[in-house]
Amino acid sequence: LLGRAGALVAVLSLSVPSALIAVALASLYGGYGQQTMILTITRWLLAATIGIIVASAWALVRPTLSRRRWFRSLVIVTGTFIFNTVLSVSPFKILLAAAVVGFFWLEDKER
Amino acid sequence: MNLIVLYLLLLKAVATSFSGLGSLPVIRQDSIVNRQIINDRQLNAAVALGRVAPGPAGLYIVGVGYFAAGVPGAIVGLLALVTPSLLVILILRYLRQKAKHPRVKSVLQAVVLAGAGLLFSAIIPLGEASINSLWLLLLAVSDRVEGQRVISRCRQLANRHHQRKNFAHRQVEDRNIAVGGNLVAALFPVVFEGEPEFGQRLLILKELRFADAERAPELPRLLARVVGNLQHQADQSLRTLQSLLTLVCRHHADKLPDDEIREKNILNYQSG
Repeated sequence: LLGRAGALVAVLSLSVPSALIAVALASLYGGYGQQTMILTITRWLLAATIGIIVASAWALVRPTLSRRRWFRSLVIVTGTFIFNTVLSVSPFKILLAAAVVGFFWLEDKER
Repeated sequence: MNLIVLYLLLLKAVATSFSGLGSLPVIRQDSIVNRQIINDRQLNAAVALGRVAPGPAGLYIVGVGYFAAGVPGAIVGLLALVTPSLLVILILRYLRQKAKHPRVKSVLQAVVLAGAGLLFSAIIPLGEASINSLWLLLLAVSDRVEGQRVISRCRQLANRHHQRKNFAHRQVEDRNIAVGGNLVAALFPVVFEGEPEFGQRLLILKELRFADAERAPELPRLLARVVGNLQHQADQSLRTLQSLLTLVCRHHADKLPDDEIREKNILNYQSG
């Protein structure tokens, strides 16, 4: 509606109020984070967040599995997991390597 | 913590991710493993609290900034969070033209897939902390559970972890010092939960893996430091566990022939 200024306002209005709430929660956690109840609540929230992370990762992978490029996707996701978890390669290096792989290994339908 | 460095670290993580929590692996690598500016517990709390607050999924970056450097850190986190969005607005027209190119599309998709793989691998430390701490918490706060069962459960958890890490139990003897793997194994989950420095935990594992006759005396000192740190962090619900650990350390210290090590490192802890 208002061009770049409108986009700037949209980004800030989305982020700033949420950030204030996040800071308030983090501050409360800093003050009361050692209490058993807070610890327990945080653990359960973390468990729920793990579920959300799984869903997020799956949402990224799923569209690529529905086509002929599933093998390429499987190799990249599995390779990333192994290199990061087992071989402790830094995520940044892995992302760079993935970009190189993507540059040379095109999807089947685009060959 | 230098705020500019913090900003660049967080910006690097946000800029290389393609979903809200996609930056988590990079954040963990830079903030905990490489620089130790926050610990696992704080990252877990930031992620959990970030999901409670309304707004973008990557909001936990603000919490990470807060735990690293207080309110200025939170502001830096917010700036790092919005910077890529603002930049994308400026280069959107350029990206729209280039994104149709097959190679560019392929590169972007490969990076997105790698981001998903990194997300899967980021789940492991989060889940491990959650499960271990839940067990310990339930056991520690229950008055009806005998202390020995707490230690027993710790040992089970530790053994399971060691098996995953291909850790081979070894009994190292140096003069009359017997350093039992099980003693450290019993402490290990507590270290996992209570130790602010992730590197400390790895140091102990490394020490155990490469333990030999010369390095064995180092182990009691490490253990004393770990338990000493635990003392500052343990709240009332964990006092039972802490006192048990003190007993274990005292028992171990009695076996040490070297009075200097015992006096300086272990008994100092016991006296507070």
